[in-house]
Amino acid sequence: MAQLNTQRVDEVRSRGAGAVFNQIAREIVGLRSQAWGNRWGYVFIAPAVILYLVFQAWPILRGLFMAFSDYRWLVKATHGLVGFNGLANWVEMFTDPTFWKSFTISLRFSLMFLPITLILSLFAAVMISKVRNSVAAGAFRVIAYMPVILPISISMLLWVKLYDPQLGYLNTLLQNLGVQNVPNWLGSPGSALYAMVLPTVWARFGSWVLLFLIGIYSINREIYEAALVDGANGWQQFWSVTLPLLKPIFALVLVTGSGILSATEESMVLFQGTTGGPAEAALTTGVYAYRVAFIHGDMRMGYAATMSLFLGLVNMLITFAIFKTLRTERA
Amino acid sequence: MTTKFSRRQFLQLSATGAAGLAMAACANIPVPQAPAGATQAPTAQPAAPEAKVVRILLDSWATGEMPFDTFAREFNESHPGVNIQLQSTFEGWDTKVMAQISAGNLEWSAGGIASSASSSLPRWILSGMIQPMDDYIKGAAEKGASDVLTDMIPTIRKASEHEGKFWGFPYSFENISFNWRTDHFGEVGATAAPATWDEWLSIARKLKAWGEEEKIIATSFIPDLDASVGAMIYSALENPFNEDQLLKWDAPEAIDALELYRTFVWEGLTPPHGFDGWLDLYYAGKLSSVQAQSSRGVWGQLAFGTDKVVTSQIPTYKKGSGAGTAFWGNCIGLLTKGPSPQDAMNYLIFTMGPQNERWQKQCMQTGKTPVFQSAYKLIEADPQFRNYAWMVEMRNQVDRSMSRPFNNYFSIQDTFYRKYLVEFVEPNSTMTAEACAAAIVKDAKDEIAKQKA
Repeated sequence: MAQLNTQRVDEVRSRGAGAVFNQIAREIVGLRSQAWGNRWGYVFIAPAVILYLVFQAWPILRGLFMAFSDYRWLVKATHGLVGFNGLANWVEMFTDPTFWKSFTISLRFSLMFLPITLILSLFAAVMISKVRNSVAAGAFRVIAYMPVILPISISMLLWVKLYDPQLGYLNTLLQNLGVQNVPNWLGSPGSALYAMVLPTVWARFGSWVLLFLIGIYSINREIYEAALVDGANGWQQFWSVTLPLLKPIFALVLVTGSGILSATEESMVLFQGTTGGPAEAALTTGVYAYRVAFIHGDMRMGYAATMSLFLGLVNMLITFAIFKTLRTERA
Repeated sequence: MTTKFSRRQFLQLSATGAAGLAMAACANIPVPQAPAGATQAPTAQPAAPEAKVVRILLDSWATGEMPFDTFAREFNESHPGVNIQLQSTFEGWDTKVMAQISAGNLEWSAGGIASSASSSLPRWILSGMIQPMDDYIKGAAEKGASDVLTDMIPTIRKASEHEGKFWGFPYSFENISFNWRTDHFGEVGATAAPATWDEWLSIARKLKAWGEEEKIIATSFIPDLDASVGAMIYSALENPFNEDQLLKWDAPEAIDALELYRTFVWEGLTPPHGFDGWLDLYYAGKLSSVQAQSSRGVWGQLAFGTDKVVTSQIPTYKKGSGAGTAFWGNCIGLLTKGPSPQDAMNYLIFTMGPQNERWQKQCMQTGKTPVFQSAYKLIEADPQFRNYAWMVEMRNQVDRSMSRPFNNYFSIQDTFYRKYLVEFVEPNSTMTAEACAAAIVKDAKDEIAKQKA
């Protein structure tokens, strides 16, 4: 083969400089077409790329720009490039006590929601996986997943009714049990944030159960059998086999769950608007940003975009930390 | 057998065809189509196939309670060249409208519902989403067009005005009123609504004593500022707004309003915080009165009977004091650069104008109060509408009420009112009414300063 190529080079050389130049040009064009591949491929992926650019990339870029601009919906002079205000929004955000209060509330909410949901869903998944009757197991899976198919607004409205201070089931139950001063779950600043956690867990834990179940079902049964032969009891099997092999699922669940930091709809439905609950006890950053962008005065969407971008950056950091911590051979 | 196309050729041909179709789909089609998410109301039948399509966007709650579609059909029948099509507003519709206005290809000619005397109509005006209607009202050949502005209750008309122009055509108005159960009040010997705050407190205490065993709550508010303490301040001051266009929170009457509110809460005369769970209580028959918009009274009548719930003017600080009550019109606006503003205006007048008695009656039956003076004659003329005599009282009160200042800052004041009110009325709160008022004003001013920066 090498001899053939040498012969070909010699042949081209023998035809003169022009031939050599032409050959080099042909080689370059050939290489380029090889690098770009089949052009028709681009035609096929064009619709998806265009949709992505229009509906994903452009809004992200626009949001990024808005985070550095004084964009106010009602003030036309702030629209477009003239609205650029550098780091002014960021300075305002870092010195805005309401922002920090809302961010603290979001963090507290997330730190309550994540472990509770994680433990409950893992427990439920393990329990369901132990059910040997396939019909019963299916029924449990459906029951666990049912709240997920409800729109979040409907789920929260159901809980508003359950929490009603005078006529709600919870307080009626407590009163029937002899409790004299029943709590005002959503109405009291002391309990509002905690009262928001429960419905959120209820509405979301079903999808986590399903993910954990997928993970558990995919563990090779022989590993359990080997552990059994080695004398491992149920708890040891769970601790030494199930948990380590569920690491990829943990990573997935935690990454998707960390988005709860941006929780907005939960508070807005439970507390009917952007009040953030009694005395703003459940004012998450999402609700605060929504209020700034869509409710208050000139509708300062630029500042709201800054807060949203900040939440996004925090989420990215959390995701990075999760992947770092839970890295496995597969994930 | 030989194949005419290789697989590659077939794929290339398919891709070319698909790209051509996609480009054809993106082409500017003369007849605009409804966007994804917009639901088509059953209207515009029959209309000539070549008739000009005039699209109007309306909130579904408005088309649900009022026969916009019936009158669209009748309008189309009587105006062969026009085909009014109503569409329900959808998520993000206002953004889409603004984008289409900027692009110069707006599909719709009118949109609603915006509340005058609240944030939404000023917002629509300031954002450039709607345009003044005066010229189109003048240009309308519809019956009743000449009476639209002259027959309208002056304060309602004024609430839709900005810089001398008329921007939002209301089909009804609502005002904050006192809605009370005649049967409950009768049990404590009250045959009329309380006229003053003192009477209100006195009756509430009697109602509590009477209904304690049945867990009946004497009175309630809805959480909005203009329906609760805001309305009380309205009822106490001749001019409830200061030079900053905020409520006069530091006035002694405003401090008294906060104190009275807390008394209601602390004595258990209202639900916790004055409003928690009020609607469920109301429908369960466990609430004797509520200070809320007048339609809530009709909701009560529908639930318990027309003789069981009455809507009256709100109690005032002193007898006859104050600047009336908070109110707003439910308005439709002509969208800026809409394709057919005159046709849309014609339809609005045809449907909502003072000449359309059927519309005005339907309006009353939904608990919304008509905006035209002439409509109130129907109440006197038609025995079937005697139940709505209370609307005359509401009309009179609104007629002497002061419209909220034109700005988009009321929501800011509302936010901080709600924040500090809860702290103020919590059991064992040490916050004084003065401190509560000062905190609301300070935070509101700080936020407004940010808007003006």
